Amino acid sequence: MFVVALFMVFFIAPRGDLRSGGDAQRIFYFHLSAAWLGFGAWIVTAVCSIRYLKTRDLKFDRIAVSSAEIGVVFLAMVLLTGMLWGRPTWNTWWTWDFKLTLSVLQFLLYVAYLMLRSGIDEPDRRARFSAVYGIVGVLTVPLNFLVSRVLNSIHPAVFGPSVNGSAQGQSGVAPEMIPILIFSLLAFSLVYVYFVRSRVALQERMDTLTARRAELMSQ
Amino acid sequence: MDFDQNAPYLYAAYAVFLIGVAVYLVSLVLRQRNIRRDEQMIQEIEAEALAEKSDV
Repeated sequence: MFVVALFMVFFIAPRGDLRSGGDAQRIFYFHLSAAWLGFGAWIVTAVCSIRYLKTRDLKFDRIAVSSAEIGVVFLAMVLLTGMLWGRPTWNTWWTWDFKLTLSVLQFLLYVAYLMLRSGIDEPDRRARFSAVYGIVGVLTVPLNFLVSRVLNSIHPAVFGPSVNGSAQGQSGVAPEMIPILIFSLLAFSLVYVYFVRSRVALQERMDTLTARRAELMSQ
Repeated sequence: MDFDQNAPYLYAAYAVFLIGVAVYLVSLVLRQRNIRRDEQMIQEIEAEALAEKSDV
């Protein structure tokens, strides 16, 4: 599906006008899909964190950490490909715009979440602390969504109304772009689900192994 | 199909996506392999400990 999505982006998607970067505008399909899943990963982490705090079932903690880790990967892709699209469109690799800065902050929050976890050994304490952090961290998602719609930002808002007068680059999605965008989003969603499932299974084995090791040491 | 002068940015961006996915996939496989090795090691230690106990 990923390969088909790539084919569609390169050979079926319409070329953007020069204002949106010409051929570089084709970055849009995977950039947006990765961004949405990066945000979605935080939401999954927050929902599982709430479920963990309610039930104290470590299964939710495992899903939360798996989702956060994959969110880091997706957001790193978003930042890097955003730079590669920004260079021909905005004539700069990077600018400290609200939206861009908030995206970096969100990425760093994800990294900090993983660092926090690696710093606590006791499983329940680690799960409790990171659950609270995961719930607070999700606040960056609506902020990031709203910032290019409410404040003056160079980053265009793709869907919905915007009061943004200084956005650089095409923000509207032409009807012929929508099927390719949906297909890319679907391909990324499948990759995300596969990664989360594999990572959760891995975390389960890691937890079992840690428990067995502790049991062995105590004997 | 012809691509314009911005095509190198496009190729670089899609290389980022492919490399990102590939690196994460490899990291999962490596971690799985390490865990399997650790599991085997612990199993061996447990078996040794059990054998020692039965000897005593």
